[in-house]
Amino acid sequence: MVIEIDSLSHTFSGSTAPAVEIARLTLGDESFVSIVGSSGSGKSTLLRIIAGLLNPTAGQISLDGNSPHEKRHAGELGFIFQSPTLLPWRTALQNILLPCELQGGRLKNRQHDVNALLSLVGLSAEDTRKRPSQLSGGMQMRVSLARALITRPGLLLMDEPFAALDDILRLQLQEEVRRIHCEQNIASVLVTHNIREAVAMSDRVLVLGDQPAQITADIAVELPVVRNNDVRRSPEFQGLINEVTDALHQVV
Amino acid sequence: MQENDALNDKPTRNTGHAAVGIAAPVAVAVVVVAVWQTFVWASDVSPLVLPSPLQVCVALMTERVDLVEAAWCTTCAALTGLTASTLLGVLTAFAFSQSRIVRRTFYPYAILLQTVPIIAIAPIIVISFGRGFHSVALVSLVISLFPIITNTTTGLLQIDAGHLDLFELHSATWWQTLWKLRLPSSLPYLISGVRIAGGAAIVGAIVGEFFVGSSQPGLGSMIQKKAAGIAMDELFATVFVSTLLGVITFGTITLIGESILKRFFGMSLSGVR
Repeated sequence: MVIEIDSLSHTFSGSTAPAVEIARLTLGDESFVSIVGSSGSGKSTLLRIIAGLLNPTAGQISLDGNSPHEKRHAGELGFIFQSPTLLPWRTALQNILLPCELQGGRLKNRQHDVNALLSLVGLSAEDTRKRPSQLSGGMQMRVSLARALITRPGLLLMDEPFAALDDILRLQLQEEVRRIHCEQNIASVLVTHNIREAVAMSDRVLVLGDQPAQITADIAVELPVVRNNDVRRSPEFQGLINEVTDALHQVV
Repeated sequence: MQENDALNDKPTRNTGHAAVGIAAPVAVAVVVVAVWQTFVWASDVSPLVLPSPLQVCVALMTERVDLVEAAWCTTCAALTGLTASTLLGVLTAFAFSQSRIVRRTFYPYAILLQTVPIIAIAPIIVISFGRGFHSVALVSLVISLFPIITNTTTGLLQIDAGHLDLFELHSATWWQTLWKLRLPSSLPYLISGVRIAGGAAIVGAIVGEFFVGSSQPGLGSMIQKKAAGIAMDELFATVFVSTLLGVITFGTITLIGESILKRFFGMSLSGVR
């Protein structure tokens, strides 16, 4: 899915200065793009605009030529929030199937095969019978990932999904999300303030400047598709981290 | 791959806490009763002023049939009032949650339910609606309505922003958001409200019976009768049963509420404001 942004800006009510201001930007086409920036730089606002959860106050945004509302109405957008946002009274499986319940007939056979999906995200049938309170943080995030993928989205949006996880789990889920992205050919946009995470997962890193959020650097990540430990320890990987860090320092 | 659940690892500590939770108040009760009994023996105070715990126990035994019947009448009236207040409270909370104007217009009147003394409202209700079960249940309803309205309104309005985004992302209808998100989310708040309202409903029924008199044979009318007859040991026994009924009601609702919350929400009532 291709995201095209043209002269887009968003100003929150009660504020005079725009929170986000993007002149022109094209994203997607099955690539993995990360947006990095400091806290409060407007990354999440931009992601919410792409998801159609927030309307821009000026400018245009289109997803494959359609509005974000049309795309999410058709079940073509998957979203992973900062926290797993699972409904505590539902089992894991009921949480995964929630988008299908809500969108019903509109999905038109887009629904993922549940067993294949569980295997894809590393959940067992036993896990799916549990309620969120019976699952660890990592398993909850896997359920959230499965829920985002159940409608076979063309675009997967992630808003700092691993921020609350420990380092080992974060590394594990980074690799798995990257693998799922490659296997499923889903355009993916990740918002993060973790430079290492951005480089490890992406094909392209956008650096967002502070207030209003503007793209100040667009860095191509030319690394092997599989980002294993060898890749993460390579000089090229470290060089890219330095490049993104320098770009962020210039913004600050 | 399997970083699964690390729950239920503190049963011994929890059992210990529960034992202390029961033992501590029982110990206080034993001390209070012992001091009371000693005081009555030592001071030779008249049983018409202060009966001893032993005299109250004797009264509990001799009056047990009447006390059980009275407690049953009071329980029926209180549960009728509580059921009605739960239904009315949920409907009112739903109306409050749907419109800020409705909330701002009618919420001050809901506060009146809490601030006007029930001792003043009860005779008005009895005079207006007549002496009978319905008036007692109505007093019970009035006193137990406010916590249900406030708690359920809070629950319906305080929805996790992420959950709302999730429902919006999947283009949920108003009805889907209400049925699949707002109502289940508000259930812990409703249970907490009913728990508070349960004790209040018992108090309301007893106050209502107090004004209705002998036409409604409950603990309230029994208290009135025993006080008029200066049968202090029996009066204390009736007050004891009234208190016990309130504690049992509170405990039963807490137990049911806790099991629902643990089963469906993985949380306890102490986590609900």
